[in-house]
Formats: sequence, C-alpha cells, structure tokens
Amino acid sequence: MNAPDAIPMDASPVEVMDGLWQWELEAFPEQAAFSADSASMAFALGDGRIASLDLEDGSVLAWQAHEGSCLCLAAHPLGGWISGGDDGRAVFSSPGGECTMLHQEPGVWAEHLSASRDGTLMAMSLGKEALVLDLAAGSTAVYGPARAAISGLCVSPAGGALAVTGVGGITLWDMEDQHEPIELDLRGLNLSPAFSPDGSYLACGHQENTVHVLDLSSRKVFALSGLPAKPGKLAWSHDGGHVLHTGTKAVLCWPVPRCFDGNPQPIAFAVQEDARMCALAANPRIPFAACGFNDGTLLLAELKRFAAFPVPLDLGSPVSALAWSASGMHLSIAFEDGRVALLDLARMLSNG
Amino acid sequence: MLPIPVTVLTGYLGAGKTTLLNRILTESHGKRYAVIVNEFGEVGIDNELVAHTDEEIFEMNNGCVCCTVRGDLIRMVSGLIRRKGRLDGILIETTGLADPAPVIQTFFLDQETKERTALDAVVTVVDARHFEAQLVESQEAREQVIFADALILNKVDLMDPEGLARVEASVRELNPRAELIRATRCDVPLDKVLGRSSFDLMRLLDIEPDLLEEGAHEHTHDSVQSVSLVSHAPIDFDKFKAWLGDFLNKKGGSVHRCKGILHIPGERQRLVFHGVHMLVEMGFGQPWKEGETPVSKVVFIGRNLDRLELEIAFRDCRVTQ
Repeated sequence: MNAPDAIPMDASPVEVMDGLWQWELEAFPEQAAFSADSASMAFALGDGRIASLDLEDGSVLAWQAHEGSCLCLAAHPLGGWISGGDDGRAVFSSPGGECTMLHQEPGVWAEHLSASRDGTLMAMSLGKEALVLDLAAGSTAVYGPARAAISGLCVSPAGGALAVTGVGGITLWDMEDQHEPIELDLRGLNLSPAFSPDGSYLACGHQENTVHVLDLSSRKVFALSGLPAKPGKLAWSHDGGHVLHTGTKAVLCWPVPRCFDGNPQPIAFAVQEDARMCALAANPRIPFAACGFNDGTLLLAELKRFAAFPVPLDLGSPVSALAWSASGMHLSIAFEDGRVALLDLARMLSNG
Repeated sequence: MLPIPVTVLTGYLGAGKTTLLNRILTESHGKRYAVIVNEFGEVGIDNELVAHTDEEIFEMNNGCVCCTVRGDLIRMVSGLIRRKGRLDGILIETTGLADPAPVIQTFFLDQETKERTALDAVVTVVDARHFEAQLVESQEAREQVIFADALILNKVDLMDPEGLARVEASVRELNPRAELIRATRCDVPLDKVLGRSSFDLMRLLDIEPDLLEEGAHEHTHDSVQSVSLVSHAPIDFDKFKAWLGDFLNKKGGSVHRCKGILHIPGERQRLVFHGVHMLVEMGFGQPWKEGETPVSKVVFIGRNLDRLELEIAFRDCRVTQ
C-alpha cells in the first residue's frame, strides 16, 4: 500500500520508438537514479517531489519529499531512495513514497549526493559539512567543516575515500578518519569531483573553464584549460581509460594516465555547432557514455571506435540529468522542461 | 527561458535593508521573489523563498586582482532559477560591509549565470542619520553609494532640513547619476527597487544631462570622482574599443563603473556599453530617433582618474576625416 501522500500520477509513457519511452512530469528534474534492483527509476524534482517510474508497466508514483526543491537523489541498496533538498533535509523514501527524515540542517542546502559503487556508503553536502551515511551499519557521521562551502563531492567507488571540492582546493577524507583530512590546494572554485573506477585518480572541474586530473599517489596534477565553458559534470569511461566532461561543443575524451606525459591529445568527435554539453553519464559496464546538450541533443557516445549516435527525442529544452542502471542496460534521461525518458540499450542495439 | 531579473541590495549596517526585504517578501504584489541573504545578517528573515549563504568571495586566476566573484552566488543563483519554477526575480542582500563589485562581476563572468539572469540594478539603502559618520570610518559605505543605480535615502524623518540637504549633497557628490529616493522605514514604491533594468543595454538611452554639466568641475571626494566625456563628432569604434580595453586593463582596478553611448558612423543604432572594473559589456541599443543629433557620451566613476588623459584619449577616438 502507498503512503497517503504518494499519488499515482496520470502520466502514461509515450513510446517514441522501440526501446525508448517518454513521460511528462511537469517539474524540473534535477537528478535521475535507478533503484537498487533496477526495476524503477526516480527523479528529484524542482518542486520538492520525487517521481518514481516503474520500468515494467510505466506507471508513475510521485510524493512530496522536500519543502523547497529536491536537489539530489540516490537509491538505497535495500530499496527506496535517499534524497536531499534546499530545506536542508536528508530524507529516506520507501519505494511506496513514505518519507522518514534522517537529518536536518535548517538554512543550508542538501545539494550534492554521492554513493559508493555498492550504494552502502553515501555522502551528502550540507553547506560546508558532509553528512556520511553508512547504510550497512545504519550510522551517520558529519565530516568537516571543509574550508569552504561544498561545491561537489564524490565517494570513491570502493567507499574508502571522500573527496569534497570548493573554493581554494579539494579536501580528501579517508573514510576511517573523519578528523584528519588531506588538503590539496587549487586556486579558484573547484567543482564536481569524480574518482576513477579504481580510485587512483580524481578528476575535477574548475569554474574558469578548466579540468584537473589528480594522480592521488604521486599528487601530480594535469590541468587542461581554455575550454569553451565551465565543465560542470565529469565522468570516467567504465575502464578508467578516459575522462569526459561537459562544457564542450563536442564529445571530448582525455586519456588517463597518458595525459600526465605532457601535451596530451584528446579524442574529440561529434562536434555540435550551436550547442554545449551540459549533462553526462558514463556507462558503468560497457564503453558508452550518454552526452546531453543544451539544445536538447542527446548522443550515445561509443568509446571504442569513438562514434556518436543521436537519440531521437525532441529538441528545444536542455538535458538536465542522465543516469545508467547498474547493469548498464538502461539509461534514464531528463530534460529541463519536465520530460523524462527511458532508453533500453539492449532493445535499441538489437534493432540496429 | 526568459532571463530572471536580479537585484542587488546593499547598504551599511542598520540602514534598513532587512526592513525593505521583509516588505518585498510580505506585501501582496502577486510576484515571487527569491531572496539570498547572508548567514550573519542583522535580523533573521524566515520565509520559504529565503536562502542563506556565506559571502564567498574569491579571486579569479586570470591574474587580475579586481576580478573577484562570489562562488556562493554562482551556485545559488543557478540553483534557484533552475529549480524553483516560475520566479519573478531574485534579490541578493549583501552584508553591510561588503564591496558590491564581486556580486556584479559574478553576473559578468559566470557564463551560466549570465545566460539565465539579467542583472537589474544595484540598490543601496543609505542611513540618512548616520551616513556622514559612516563615510569617515568606512570605505565600504562609500563604495556602496558609488556602485548604486538607485539610492534609497532612509530615515529622513529623523533629519532636520539642513542635515538632510547636507547628506543628500554628500551622496550626490559620490554618485551624481543614480536616482535618489527619500524614505522613512524604506516606504518606497517597490517598482523603484525592482524591475529597473539599469543594466539593460537597450535601456541605456541617454546619460543624465545634468551629469554632463558636472564635467566642468572635479569630484575629488576622497579621490573618488566621476569623469564625463562628450563628443559631437562620431567615434571610430575600433579605436575606441582598443583604447577602452587597454585603459581598463591598466586602470580597471580603480574604475568602479563606466558606461556610455557612442555614435558610430553609418550605424542607425547607438553603440552602448557598461562595465565594472575590468569587465565591459557592449552591444547595439536603441536606434537614433529621426531628427535627433547623435552625441557620444561616456562616464567613468573611480579613484584617481586623470581627467585630462581621458579627455585626450577619447578625442583621439573620433573619426578622422
């Protein structure tokens, strides 16, 4: 049975083509996520709701999880969702939409959320502090304050480390020790940290149209500047061989660790004349990345032959969020105008 | 999506900013304004549309010390405009001690913020009763007046006519160009505060004529001065652009604001520009009216400006026959 506040939405999917369905959620989707069992996908919405869509029958369930906007969302490994909002709350929602408040910090935004690969360790930003949720042990801890307001955070895939970005640099915590972080200085506003799949590199965006890749063992930093726009989202290819980022007018892949050898050449393809990449998600299992642009263009980038395939969804509204299921077979897509879509990669590929 | 107007509200401690913000949030004007206030604000405002923040100022890496922006605003403004649905405007309150430049520069320098918002105006609330004392002790009180597009002279009920005239004169001396509105408990019509479009190049039709008269005498209040330049001959745009770029590169740190309207030969429209420190935005504005005599006018407000040097340089930008 549903919680009293969870309302089935009258939003039946439209089949755009075989393996591609679209819904209308009538709110800005800020983030997308698949449930732990990949049977449903959910969206954090700008009006404070979470909308959960059943992949089997296409039904939509929506509930008010936050008072202002719901800003971040991840799947609980045992089912249900963890979310943050600009009401300063961390909330657990059951699959049926029943909400339990886990933590509240009035006056700050619970804006960024990152989870380990198995989903048991999560970190959520709360102003200058990070709330760390150990969902296996059922415990919470507050890390920080960091040197500045947290502009992005990332839990390493194995769950051993937490990286937090802000003005002036990056703070790295060993998850075993919440008191003695390592501070790495990088002038200016750093954002959106992303650990490589094996956890040995950290890539970060920078306000001044730059990307930094850090070798965490040697502390060497590779800086790539002069991008056309701010790289607000970063992703690693599934094998860790390439870093991709938004803020570009094409799909750009930087080879790692070769970039540390000086004068690296990126692989660039699928140039867009009039659009800038604003959303990005790399497939966790196969050499694929989904790249969304601010004119609504969505490309599936194949990272072996470096070719891109457009997904036939309506143009006009910027792509706001992308997420792959754990198996890498489903892609969740969201647009700023409230449209969301599901792509079944297996079905699409089998149809050519 | 239409850009959302952003108003920057400054004023020294106790001037009455919070009173004004509360009015904007509670009066029934049928509009939705999100408000970004400082965490250490004087009085707490409790409202769903209020976001609290630290004023997180940092220098850009481009080597220019005056290119400071506010990281918190980049995050919060982009968050608000994207997530809140329909908003009629955003108000940013700065602490009484803040220099307004980093706030304004954020809207010039962050591309996403620039694309999705339109800086509307810098509104400064001045405490009529304490302004003269504040001028003596605080650099910030002065800067806030210099940067303003509109000045609310608050608490005038506490002043006698001579005192008020004196305060008005010293405010005017710092900023002859902004609209000056007298108020008691910030009882100004809200359309004097919101929707002013001061940064809209299309709206920059003319520069107040009385200001141009000011060219005759020097403003040397603590070395802050405004210099107005006029040319009845058309301007060579390439020359002007090269000179302005070069000048602001060297002196941008001491130029608080500049703006101007240029008559470019062969162009139906005015070439308009405005800037803060080193940053300038340019574009074509309204066309010259039929029968109107096009005149080019430029204003610089800043510290230690060499009037003669500016005059000569501007004259050199005229089209040579």
